[in-house]
Order: sequence, then C-alpha cells, then structure tokens
Amino acid sequence: MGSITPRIKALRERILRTRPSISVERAKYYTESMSRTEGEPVIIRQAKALAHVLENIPIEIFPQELIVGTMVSKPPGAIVYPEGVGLRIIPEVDEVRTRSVNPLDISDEEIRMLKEEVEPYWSSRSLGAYAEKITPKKIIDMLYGGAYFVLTEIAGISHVSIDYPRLLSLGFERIKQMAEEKVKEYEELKSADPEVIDKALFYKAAKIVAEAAVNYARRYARKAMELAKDEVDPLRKEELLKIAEICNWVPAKPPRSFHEALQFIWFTQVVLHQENYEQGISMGRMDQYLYPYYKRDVEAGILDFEKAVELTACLWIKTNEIVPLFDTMLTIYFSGLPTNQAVTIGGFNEEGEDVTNELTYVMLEATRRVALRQPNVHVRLHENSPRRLLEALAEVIASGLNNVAIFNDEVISKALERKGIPLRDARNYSTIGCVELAPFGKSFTSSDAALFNLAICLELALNNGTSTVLNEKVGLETGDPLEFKTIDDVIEAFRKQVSYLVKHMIMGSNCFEVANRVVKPTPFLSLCIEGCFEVGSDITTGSAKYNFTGVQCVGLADVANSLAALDQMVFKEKKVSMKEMLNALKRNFEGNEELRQLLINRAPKYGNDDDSVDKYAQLVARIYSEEVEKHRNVRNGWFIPGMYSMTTHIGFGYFTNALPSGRRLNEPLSNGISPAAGSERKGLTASMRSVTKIDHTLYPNGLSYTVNLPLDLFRGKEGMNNLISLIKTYMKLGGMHIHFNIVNANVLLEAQKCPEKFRDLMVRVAGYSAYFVDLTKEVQDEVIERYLEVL
Amino acid sequence: MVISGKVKGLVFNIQRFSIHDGPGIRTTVFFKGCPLRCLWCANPESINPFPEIMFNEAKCIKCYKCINVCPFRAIIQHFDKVIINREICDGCGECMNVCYSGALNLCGKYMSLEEVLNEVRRDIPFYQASNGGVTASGGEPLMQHEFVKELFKIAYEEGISTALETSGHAPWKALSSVLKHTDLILYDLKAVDSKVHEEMTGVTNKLILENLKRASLEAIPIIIRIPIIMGYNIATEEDIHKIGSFLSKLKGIERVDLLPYHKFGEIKYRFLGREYKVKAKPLNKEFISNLKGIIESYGYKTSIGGLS
Ligand code: SF4
Ligand code: SF4
Repeated sequence: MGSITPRIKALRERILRTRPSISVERAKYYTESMSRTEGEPVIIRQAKALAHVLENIPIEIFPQELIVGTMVSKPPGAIVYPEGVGLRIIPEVDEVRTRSVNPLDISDEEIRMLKEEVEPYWSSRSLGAYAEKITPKKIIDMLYGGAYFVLTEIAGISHVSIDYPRLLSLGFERIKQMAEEKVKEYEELKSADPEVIDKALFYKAAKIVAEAAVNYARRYARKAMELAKDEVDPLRKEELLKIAEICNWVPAKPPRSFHEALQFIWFTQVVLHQENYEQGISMGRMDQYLYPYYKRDVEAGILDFEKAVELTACLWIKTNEIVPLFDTMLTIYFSGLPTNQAVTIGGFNEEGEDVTNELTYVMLEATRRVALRQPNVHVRLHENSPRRLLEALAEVIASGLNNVAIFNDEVISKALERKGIPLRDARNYSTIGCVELAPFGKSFTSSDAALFNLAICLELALNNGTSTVLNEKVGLETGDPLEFKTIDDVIEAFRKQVSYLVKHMIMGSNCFEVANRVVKPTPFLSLCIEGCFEVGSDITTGSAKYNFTGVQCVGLADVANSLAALDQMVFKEKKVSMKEMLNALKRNFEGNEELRQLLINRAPKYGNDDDSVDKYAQLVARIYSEEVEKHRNVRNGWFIPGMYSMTTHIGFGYFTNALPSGRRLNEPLSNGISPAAGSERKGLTASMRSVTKIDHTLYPNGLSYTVNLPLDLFRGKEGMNNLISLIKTYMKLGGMHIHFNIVNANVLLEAQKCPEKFRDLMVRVAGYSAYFVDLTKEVQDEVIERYLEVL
Repeated sequence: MVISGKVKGLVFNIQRFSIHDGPGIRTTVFFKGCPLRCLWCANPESINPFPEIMFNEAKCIKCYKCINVCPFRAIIQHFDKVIINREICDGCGECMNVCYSGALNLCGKYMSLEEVLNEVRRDIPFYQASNGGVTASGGEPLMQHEFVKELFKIAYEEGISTALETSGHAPWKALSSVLKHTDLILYDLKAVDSKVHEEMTGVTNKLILENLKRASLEAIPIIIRIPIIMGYNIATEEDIHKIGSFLSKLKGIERVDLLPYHKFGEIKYRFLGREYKVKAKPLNKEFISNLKGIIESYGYKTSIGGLS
C-alpha cells in the first residue's frame, strides 16, 4: 500500500490546523435577494436567491488543490442558514467564540451584520416562524422541552443521496435547456391543463438555478486562469490551467474524465450546501457511477490506481471544509460536528450480482490515507462480497479509523422491499447521512426528520401519563400503575403511550414539512433527484419517486431492561412491590441504593444473549416500528422507523427519570440498537446475538450498532481473520449495520487531558464519526466508559 | 466431582469471544483447581478446587445483610467495613445471594455437562466462520479430566473444535483420555530447569516434560506457551535457550507463544484476601523480541501475546 502524498498531507493539515469560523456571506446574500423579491412566487424567489449567493460568495483556490470550490470563505467553517435555525447562535455568540467545545470564530462586524441586516428579516419569515403558526401548541411545547422528541425539519430537510449518474450524463447546461423548452411550451400554450401553471414556475426556477451552477463554476475557471498567470512554479501553473479548463467544462457539460467527474460532483455539492442546510447531503454509490470514467482513463493511460487515490483524497478533504452551526442545545443532541456526507461503496447491483470494483479499493485507500472525519464511508457487503474487499476493509478498521461502517445488502434490500419498493430499486439502495437507507438517487426520505424518546414512554406508562421530571401530564391516562397485575399490563400501557407520543411527533413532522413546502422550496435539489423534473414540481411537494419520512427511536435497551426487571422483581419474584419501585424511581433511587443494585446486578440485561430480556427488546422494537408505520406524510408517502440516536440519548437522558433498569436520571439512554452502557458482560458475540434477535428489517430507515473494541484485539493476520469472521457472522445472523470503534481507552483519557495533541483522534459516537476533542465532556466520558468496559 | 451419579464440573468462568486461547473466536471454559502454585498466577481464584467467596470492597454499599445470613458467622463488621474470616468461611454462597451490589461473588460453580454445553453451543456460528471452538482452561482442567473428556467428546461429535490448555501436570492417563477428542493442545511451559520450576510453581517438572514428550507423538498440533516473568522463571536469555533446546527435540509443535507478564490479576488477590507477592521487573520490548529471536533460532514460529 502506498502512503500519503505531500499534497494530501498539506491539504489535510490545513483543515486540521485552521480554527473553524462562521461564514456569514451566504446568509448575507441570501437575505439580500429574498428581501428584494417579496411578492414574487416563492420558488422563483428561492431560485434567484441561490443564484445571487453563487454570484457573490467569495471564491478561493488553495495551494496544491486539484478539486476546487469552497463551501465557506475560510474553511473549515459553518454556513449560517437564517431561514432555518442558523440565527439561534446570535444570543450565544460570545460564548460560541470561547466555548470549550466546538468554538467558532466570528468578527464583531459580522455579528453586527447578522443582527442588523439578517435577523430582522427572518424573525417572522423563517421556517420556524411559519411552523409555529401552523403547528399545535402542545407539539411546539413538547419539542422545545427537549424530553420527548426532536424534530429536525425546522432547520430544513436535506438528507438525500444525489442522483449523480443522471446529473453526470446530462450536465447542467442540458438541464437548463430542458427547462427552457418546458417554459417555452408553456408560453406557447401547448397545453391548457391547470397544472401547467405551477409547473411553469418550477421550470423557470430550474432554469435559473441550473444556469447559476454553471456560472459559479466559471467564476472558478477565471480565478484559476488569474492564478496561473502569476504562478511561478511551472508544475502548479499547468495544474491551474487544467483546473480552469475543467471548471469551464463541468458541471455545464458531462465530464470527460475521472478528474472532471469528481470536480462536477464537488461543485454540485457546494451548490447544494448553499441551498440546503449541511446535513446528510450524500453522494451515493460513487464507486459504481464513477467506474466508467476511471476505467476509460486507465485504459487511455492517463490515470492509475495511485493517481485516482490522490484525486479521490482531494475530494474527501473538501468534504471536511464545512461544519454545522450548532447552538449549545443542539451540541448536546448532535455532538461532534457531524455533516454526514455519505459515500456508498461495494455491494450488489439491481440483479443481486456483486459489483465491487477497482474503484471500491481506490476509495477505501483514499479514506485510510486522508483519515479525517468526513465523508462517512459506507461499505456495502453481502454474502458474495470478495475476500479482498473484506481484507481491505478489516485493514482500514484495524488501522483505527472510525468513519467507515458496514451495511448488509441482503437485510437492507429486504427491509426496503417490505415498504413496497420494487426489488431492483431496493437492491440499488445507497446510504444517507450516518446510517439511513433509500433507493439510490430516486428518494426524498427526510431520513433524519425526528428522534423519539422511547424510554420516557415507559416513564409515562408508570405514572399514568405524567413526566415526573418536568411535572407535566403530556401522555395518556393509561391507568394507575398500582393496579397493574402482570407485565402485560405495563406493556399495554407502554404501547399506548408510544402510540400517543408517536402521533404527536408525526403531526409535528408533517407540520414542519408543510412549512418547508411553503417557505422553502428547493429548486436546485429538485434537479438532483429522479422524478422531480419529470413531474415538474418541487421536491418538497412529493415529486421524487420515493417519498418517506424517517423517524428514529432512542432508548431501546433501557426499555427492554426495565421491562425485564419489572417482570422479574415486581411480578414474578416479588422482591419489591410496585409501590416501592415507583417511589424509588421518583426519588431517583435516593435512599434506596440497595434496590438499584438489585436491579442492576440481578435483573437480566439486553446484550448478553439472554432470551428472558432479549424478548422484550424484540417486542419494544416491534411496537415502535408498528406505531410509526401507521402514519402517512405530507408528500404522499409513509413514515418509516429508524433506530439511532446521534447523541440525543444524552439529551433525552436529562429529562428521563430513573428507570427500573437501574439507570438514574441524567444518565444517557442507550444508543441505537446497542446494549446499554455497562451492561454487556458476556462479550461481543453474546452482544451480537442479542442484537440480531431483533428483526432488523423492521427498520427500513436504518439502525446503528456501534461496537467499541480495543485496537490490539485484532493484531496480526489471525486478528484480522477474526475481525472478518465477526463481520460475516453478524451479517449472517441478520445484522443490518455495524460499526467498530477501535481506540484505546488510555489514549482517550490522555486526549481528554491534552486535546491539542489529539486533534485528529476520531471516535464513533452513534453512527457517525467525530473528533474526540470536539465532543462534550459528557459524551467523552461515555465513550471512555464504554471503552473501559471491554478491556 | 460426582454429584448424584452425574459428573459435574467446577467451573469459575465461561468466557465467550475469547481470541487468545487458540485459533479463531472461541469460548473458554475455566475449570477451578490447580496442582501448581505459580508465584505470578494471574488467576488466583482458579487455584483452590472448591468454591470461594470473592469480595470486591469497592462495590460494597454497606447494607450489612451478608452478616446476618452467614450460617457460620464468618462475616463481621469492623467499624463500617465488612470483613470475611476466611478460616471459617465454607463457601456456601449464602452471603452472595443477599449481596445485591455484586461485592460478594462466589467463584466456582458446579455445572452439568448440559449446562456448559448450552453456553458453548451459543457461538457455533462464530466458530464456523473463524475456525474457532471451545477451549478448556483453568486452573488445570485435567484435575477434572473426566468432565473435560465428556465435554470434548460431545463437542467433537457436534463439530465444535476443541482445545486443551494445560500445565501438563497430571497423570498421563488423564491427559491421554482427553486427547482423544482434542484438536489442539496449548501446553504451558514455565521452565525446563527442574529446580527453578519447583521454586516457582511448587512442583517439579518431571511429569510435565514427560507428558509433553508423549503428547508430541500424538499427531495433535501443540502450541507451547511460555509466561515471561523477569527475575522469576526467566532471569537471563540462557533460560530461554534451555527451553528452546528442549523443544528442538520434539515433533508436532506448531508455534511458541511468549506471554509477557501482566499485573491484571493483582486485584483478584485482594478480592480473595490474599497477598500479591510478585515483584517482577518490568519487561522491555527489546528483551522480549530478543527472546522471540532465540526461540525462532530453534526453528519455531514464535509470537508475542498469542496471535500470529
Ligand atoms: S451484602 Fe454486599 S453490599 Fe451489603 S454489606 Fe455485605 S458485602 Fe456489602
Ligand atoms: S460463603 Fe457462606 S460461609 Fe462464606 S462468608 Fe458467605 S455465607 Fe458465610
């Protein structure tokens, strides 16, 4: 294996060494345009605003870059999306500059600009402002309480995987022409159908944004020419001239080479991020759709493996230029600065045949060498994946890199088929964000729409609908718990609470999607997903081929462990009465540590291959899935369940009182489908067996299983074989996703003490990778604790 | 041990996802009881052939329920502390039953073959994928050779690969009866110098070396495991040369693992109310890799820590 080139080293260092800042330009130009176009059709206004942004945001070509185009003026940085939640940072701005976690620079002048020129316009016009007007007050209150669910669409939707195969084959000039033709047909009254009025607006907007993307790239072409003029180094001069030529060509026209294809993708990503907020805008099955370019170039003798790795690495580094702008509250729920641009590689095709190719390895190798947080590299595996891929993958994992995760083709295609997706499209899925799944390029699944606290539903069930922390009756009256005779009564009450709260979450999500449709159509994104252009309507209206909304549950293990503990200790062995239990829970076990110890040590825990508790995990997983799947979204699609938590398991933990599992108030809930922290006592194989007793196809939006392992467990060839065996067996048992967090606890402790020495230390938090030093103290502690356990 | 006509095994731990006790992913069954008294023993709870109570004071929540339930009055309260009189304790486990904190744990449980097998069988898919299986370890599993023999026989018949980790200090008959259904032997070798061996382990190595010679004729692959405790079983490079030259006369040896001394067992001495006496010199990497080189010079594949 080759090693990192000086170019990649330099580009990588620049990202790591530069202190992140807030980039206000996009907010400024976006607001400028929006306030000028009041009264025009909203989709046209959005198109013009994007065009205005692209004409004016600063452009920059950095030394040694081969792939150009900056997301922010001084990368790495955060874009302000004032129409979403970007302005929440203003009241905290002093803190943001100095806070210990994820500090971001911003000048006083920039703050003044945001306060005086941006905020006044948006305070009554943002997505949130609109959403608040149309959403039932109870849901808004529940949302801001932070205890029951998080609804993300108040920030926008994003979370897609882009139909790059189609975009690359057309180019935006052609798309612009296609839009023009449609507008012309309209002007010439080719049809008098009533729908054509709205459609014409869509195509007009489409034309504006397609043209804007082309013009944006040409700004870079000019910039590269200018730089080339003054460049003294002849090699760099040549590179710059080539960059100029490429930027003139793409994304206007279909790329002619692998290099051009990558540049095409990057410009599109930049434009998408100027329009849509920075979460989960994913690049799909890259090794598949880029392979023809790679192959052609290799055959023509202008590209080889090493050169392809370097170019890919250049793109990978670019994805690290953007960080999200999270306020203190959001930092708790989504710690670690994730932007979750996913890349999907490997796997089978529509026919179920393996299509791993040379580019799969190029991309894995680039990932290993770049070793930065982004992109999320998702490797698809199936029964016939080549041994070489497993070995390459094991090597990357064992190298300690944490932004690689594994997805199981057989299980995922089955899960998607269950939602009525035809087999071929189900097989051709790609990943979105951290663990989400959807048919590649054809889906708008708002895959991270909401995260739901399952554990608090059990608390409500045990308190007749009242949250004992917030002291409010938000749930249903499911009966006096002292009257419960068997565990079935508890389960019944729990199911009712889940059903009731899910309904609130769904309603909230639908209101927010309506807000997006009304306030913020996204014409550029609509060009990037199959279906929208053909239908002639914005993606927020449901014009994509597949329309789902993904909502994830948090706290599975806590509920399963609690039900098992209640069943054994209260109902079967009668070691403690329901009354004593409820009192102890209300007091957070104060004065009754003995009971807590009994619950922790004597009640069975999910994650130890023990059917007496795993059966409850199965049941709880099924309950949530069934409740979610009852509901339709506003895009004529269905809600689908996922099971992952980002770091909401920590946020929810602050509001979820003590539980019969022995977990105390403020302690984090469990994360994804993983067992609760500290409860895996029988080793990894037992944990995997427990986890795979749950039917993963119940979770078509994706789930996350994070496994923390000491690095030295997989030393040598034998260690590598064991790692491969673990992966293969987990998949055979029906596991959908797995991610190995391979670090050393001592290293983490050390990093906590001297963060500056460990800038690039990555850990997996819940389904995404984060720099350890970017995490809050609580999350760091949790990672360390999880880690110590397995030693 | 025979209880009501059926052989039961005294087991102190069944460890799933073991990856250092033979090839692949394995389940290791730890048998309690050992005829050796190695000074550096990392599993002191494995030595006595009867159940013992372990007390982890840090977990104690001072509920004092244990004091009242002990039928032998072996537990007393001293100020706020709980103290166990080990001379009186007979390992009945009553105290553990009321100790919810997990501070008191009875180490060693009589298990039926079926109970052990049920645990072992749970990871069959992992064994299949990794060429793993079950490992009998200890303590000295051959102290319970009848049970191990039965366990291996059934495992063997069910297609679960078997590995025996032994000190070799057992009658040949015991060893050979188990070897019938053994796929791999992990043979511990502390020293070839008999005097050194006796000083370090309390027994001479006569039986051990004899058995090793005989076992090496059995067409079962053997991995030799040498603990490296500086200043104890290994003082100089010469000591390793001695082992190397002894091994060079044997056949069937697949690999030699050098197991550098670690202190992980120290805390368990405290749990058992015993004193930890080893004061081994810290190991440096260079020395260990020298030792590795020496064994290799006798023609053996050698690993540090047990993974090739
Ligand atoms: S029963 Fe356990 S926790 Fe209670 S005093 Fe005894 S040792 Fe301590
Ligand atoms: S094991 Fe039995 S004898 Fe020993 S201290 Fe506990 S209760 Fe007393």
